[in-house]
Amino acid sequence: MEVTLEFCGGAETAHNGGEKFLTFKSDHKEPKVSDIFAQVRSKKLIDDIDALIESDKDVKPGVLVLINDADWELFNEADYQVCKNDRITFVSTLHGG
Amino acid sequence: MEIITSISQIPKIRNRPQRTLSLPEFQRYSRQLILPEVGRPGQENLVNSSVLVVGCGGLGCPVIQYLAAAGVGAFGLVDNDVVDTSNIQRQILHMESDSGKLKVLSAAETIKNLNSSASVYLFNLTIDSSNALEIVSQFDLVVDCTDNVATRYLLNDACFLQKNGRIPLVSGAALRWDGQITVYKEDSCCYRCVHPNPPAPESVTNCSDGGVIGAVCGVVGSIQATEALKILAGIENSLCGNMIIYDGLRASTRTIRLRPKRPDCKLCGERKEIKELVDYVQFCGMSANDKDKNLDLLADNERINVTDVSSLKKQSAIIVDVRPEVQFKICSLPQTFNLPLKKIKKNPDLLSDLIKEQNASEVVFLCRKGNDSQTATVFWKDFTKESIKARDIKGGLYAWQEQIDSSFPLY
Repeated sequence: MEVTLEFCGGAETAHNGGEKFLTFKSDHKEPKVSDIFAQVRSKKLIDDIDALIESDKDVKPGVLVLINDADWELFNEADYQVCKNDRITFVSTLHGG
Repeated sequence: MEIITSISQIPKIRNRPQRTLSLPEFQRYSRQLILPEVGRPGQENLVNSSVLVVGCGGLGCPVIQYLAAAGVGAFGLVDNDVVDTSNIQRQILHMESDSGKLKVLSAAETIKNLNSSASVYLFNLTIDSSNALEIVSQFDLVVDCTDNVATRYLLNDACFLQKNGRIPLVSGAALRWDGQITVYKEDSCCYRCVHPNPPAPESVTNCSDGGVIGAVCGVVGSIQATEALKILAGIENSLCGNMIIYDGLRASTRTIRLRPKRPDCKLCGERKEIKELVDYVQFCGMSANDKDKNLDLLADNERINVTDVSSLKKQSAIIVDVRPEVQFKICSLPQTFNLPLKKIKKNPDLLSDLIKEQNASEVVFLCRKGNDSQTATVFWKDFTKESIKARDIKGGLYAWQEQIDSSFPLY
């Protein structure tokens, strides 16, 4: 299954110096978000992965994960079963003013 | 306008006697008065309402300006800073002639010119756990226009822990081309539900290092003002439970759905472990402002003064400017090499190659203010196990401008 990750709110800087999207083929037929995190980590698909992901199940403080524009806590977080055409977004939260 | 500098001076602001609209006010507010959601009751709510704006900077300025224009009756302005030339690009209440003036005073003068009927209370102090509950309790609503994580947690907790019920909090943030806005009130999640743990200090970028577009602050502040106006007028529609994410560079806006209240939230969850304000600077490991910190990582013999740079060049030392490329292109010293700190850390061989190519026996790091150059020195010493001499230029280009060449541009 093809998966697209999106970066926003400054999370772009973690991926190739500012790219907005990353599309790749998942190793799993029916991946959970944690499988996607694991693949991204093991295959080094995002250069500064440590800025975003704490473990396969969790993100760094200050980073939100959205599934189709809704906080992943509204679903099953890392256990959410990703569906075709789902949009998974990393958002860095901002603090400046 | 009295300037309040300590908690003993906090006046009673909330629940003042209610008033009706004066005759000239019908005309003055006519354009919003005729909106069915506002009407006469909404406008009367506004003139009788009070708002606390924390931070009179990039976000605070548009918030204050629109709310004063809309007729909000009383303002509390919190800021402990003075106007600096570099603020004026985005902090639109401050004029060139305000440089050096207290921000609260400069902002208040504009409000008074805009709407003389507004009461303005100036809090020229650092809002912290010793005074926040009392300050916040005097207002109907708080607008978070701060520039740091510690104060964001503080305001969240202070609004929630009020004896007479939670005070709504309109929160906004801006950096580079990006903005984020949300509202915390009533039964919604709180800032701690969304952020149970503070981000690592090194992952937080301030506007001085990251940069910010003034008009993006204007977008964020204007949305905050709109949300504040609705709450104060008594209009039910609200952003609460959602967050607007604005990307000025790609000209895109989206509204995302935030999580509900977390049952395990330490503030508003089932156990309510936090019963009083805590030490937020300690909790976040970051200070309650976004000023540049002066690092002190190196011993004196690992640093050279700008006055000694000219004697360096005769030896086989190279100066490596570790600022991002865009900053190097703004201004740089002759005969320096640009290798950004981020690149060195990611790929140290780039620097090894440069040293070899230049046949150098020493590397001297340079940056804007002398912080990243220290970080680079420490990193390089560690990476090379001290096989190549490394030092940094104390105070960076700021020191160079001050002591060597006053015509060198600072930014």
